[in-house]
Amino acid sequence: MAVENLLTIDNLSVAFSTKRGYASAVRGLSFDVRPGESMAIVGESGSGKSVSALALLGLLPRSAQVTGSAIFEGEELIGMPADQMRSIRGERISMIFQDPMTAFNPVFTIGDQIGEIITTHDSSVSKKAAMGRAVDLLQTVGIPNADRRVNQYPHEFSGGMRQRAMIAMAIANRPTLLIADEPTTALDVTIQAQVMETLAEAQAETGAAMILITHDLGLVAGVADRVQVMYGGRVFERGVTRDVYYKPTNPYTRGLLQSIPRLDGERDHRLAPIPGTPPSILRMPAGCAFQPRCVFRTEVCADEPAELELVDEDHWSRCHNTASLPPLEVDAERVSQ
Amino acid sequence: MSEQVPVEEVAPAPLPSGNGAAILEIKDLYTHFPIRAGFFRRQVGVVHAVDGVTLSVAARETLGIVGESGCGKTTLGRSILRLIEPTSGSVRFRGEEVTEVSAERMRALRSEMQIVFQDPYASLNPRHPVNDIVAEPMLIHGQSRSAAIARVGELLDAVGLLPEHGNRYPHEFSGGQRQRIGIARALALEPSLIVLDEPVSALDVSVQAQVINLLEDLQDDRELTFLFIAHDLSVVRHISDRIAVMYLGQIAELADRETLYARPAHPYTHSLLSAVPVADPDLERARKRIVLQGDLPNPASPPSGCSFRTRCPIATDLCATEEPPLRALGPGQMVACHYPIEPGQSLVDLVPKAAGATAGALD
Repeated sequence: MAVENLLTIDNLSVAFSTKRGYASAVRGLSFDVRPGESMAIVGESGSGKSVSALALLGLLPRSAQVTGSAIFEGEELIGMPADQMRSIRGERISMIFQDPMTAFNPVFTIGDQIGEIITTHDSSVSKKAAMGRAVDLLQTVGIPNADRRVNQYPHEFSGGMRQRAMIAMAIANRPTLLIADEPTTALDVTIQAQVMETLAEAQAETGAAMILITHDLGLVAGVADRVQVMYGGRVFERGVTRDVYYKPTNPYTRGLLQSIPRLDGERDHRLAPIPGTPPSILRMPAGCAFQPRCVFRTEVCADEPAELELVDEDHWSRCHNTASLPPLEVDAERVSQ
Repeated sequence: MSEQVPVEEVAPAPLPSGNGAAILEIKDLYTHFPIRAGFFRRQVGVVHAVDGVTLSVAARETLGIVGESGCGKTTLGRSILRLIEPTSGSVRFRGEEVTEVSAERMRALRSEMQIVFQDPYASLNPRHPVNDIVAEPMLIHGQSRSAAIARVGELLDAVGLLPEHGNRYPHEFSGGQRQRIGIARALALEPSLIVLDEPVSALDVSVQAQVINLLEDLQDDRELTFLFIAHDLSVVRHISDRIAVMYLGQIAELADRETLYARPAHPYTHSLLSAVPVADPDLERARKRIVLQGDLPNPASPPSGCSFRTRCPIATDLCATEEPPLRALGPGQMVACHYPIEPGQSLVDLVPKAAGATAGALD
């Protein structure tokens, strides 16, 4: 590949020993993130999408067994000593969480907390200069009256404002990678639009790559360059966003796209749900994790897990029956564009 | 904004068209919550959760109620069932004034009006097996234990659960299955009206569709009337016959599904629709989005005049002084706005002009 990857993840697995048994949350995850790109990870609850991000940054509890490799800008993140990891987190990789209330310390002002991020990573910056930077950053993310707001506490911010302040904090040290984990799930749809716009601007301004973790196929359609669909701890499909949406290859991706009611959908159209429920990470089905719910299941599916295989240029799918799946009814006009 | 003149009232507010006669009529409903503070818990203010709602629901239709958090949609649903006592106004169910009936009569009425809650984890008693949970409303309403138990199997079957799983406890079921249990319980007394309060919001996408299809089937089979409360416009559009868009305790727009999505007239409806992401990359990237500024105002001190004006890109001085009434705009469409957007027009096209006008006014 011509471009060197910013992040290369190879065979990452995460398991937890719990009272109710051994839970394997992420199973052999491999992917790369290119500089400046937006890569979305889509999945339902228990698919392992959030756990894999937390594993990268060493944010999982000690009970988690993390194996595999994640090379970020030439450095191995898995097993990195905590003090070294701290110099990467918040500086070169920043994370934006779903709930900004838990990400901020309630007893310090927003300005203190953004300032601290700046001074921690560059001790030559004075406290006053850091505060000035904090005001600039809050302005960048569209917070009105930033010079006054900087002295307020997190509880004085509304949900949408807090999420913007978190974006300001995340880009304070101009990271090369932003990881946004369900950044707008707790927000109303009009506020979500504001925050996604802010996030896109922040990314454009810093040139950072982004891993967007979400369950919302609509959000992904708007921002991601590439998307990977996770299920049962594994990637089931990966590709350029248009390919995955207009030419979904994996039965799970197809099912997911067909089961969502669409704002522009046909009238009186009956939804096509996927039967059954996502598997518990404590009881993964034998063979392919999706086979109990799959309408294209064959005998081999229950016996052996499928491999992620290249089905087209930069387009991967994990299915035993890729070759025999019926062609998808697609809008030919769109695909040919 | 010269071409945008306030619309004359074309006709008195029509009764909603629907499949049948109105089963539920809500008139000028207000539900206010007192804010108390200090040692004597003196009332220092009031939250206008539901602030003058008038609408009616036809038998066997699905009326969708959408809005963002804090718009009063949940309080409206609960006020109708008197799970929260409304402050004033009228709720008539089959002609009977619900707000004035005795507690005893209300209990009897509740067998006709049921509710399904958002959180299937919190709304089922974890210590009771599913059989008991579903049988409970029947026992409360005086049916014999044996008759109730006999019906539970039937109800579980109707919502797609195995009757033999009735002796299991809620934690043994997945989220989607728990929501089915909640629906079975709501069906137990054979109600005619069910208030569904965000019934699929807590569910995974692949499971959400199962529950939506189930609700549609049950409605057809059992001639149910649904009040479907949700924040997800795609889901509401899918399931509803008519939709009321709420903002800050009031109805901003009320229209049949087709009209609302094809020709939204209220600037708030426009911005809501434009904010919903669509799972189609080309379409999603080509859309012009109206990003509303600011947050929802505090419902304890709603703005003067039109409650949306503080975030409305086309608001004028008139909007600050005069509250726009909900009035008929055309067949099957009512809007509470001084400057309803005309069919084919987009708020996006109006905004720069409006911004220019505002700037001009300030000079």
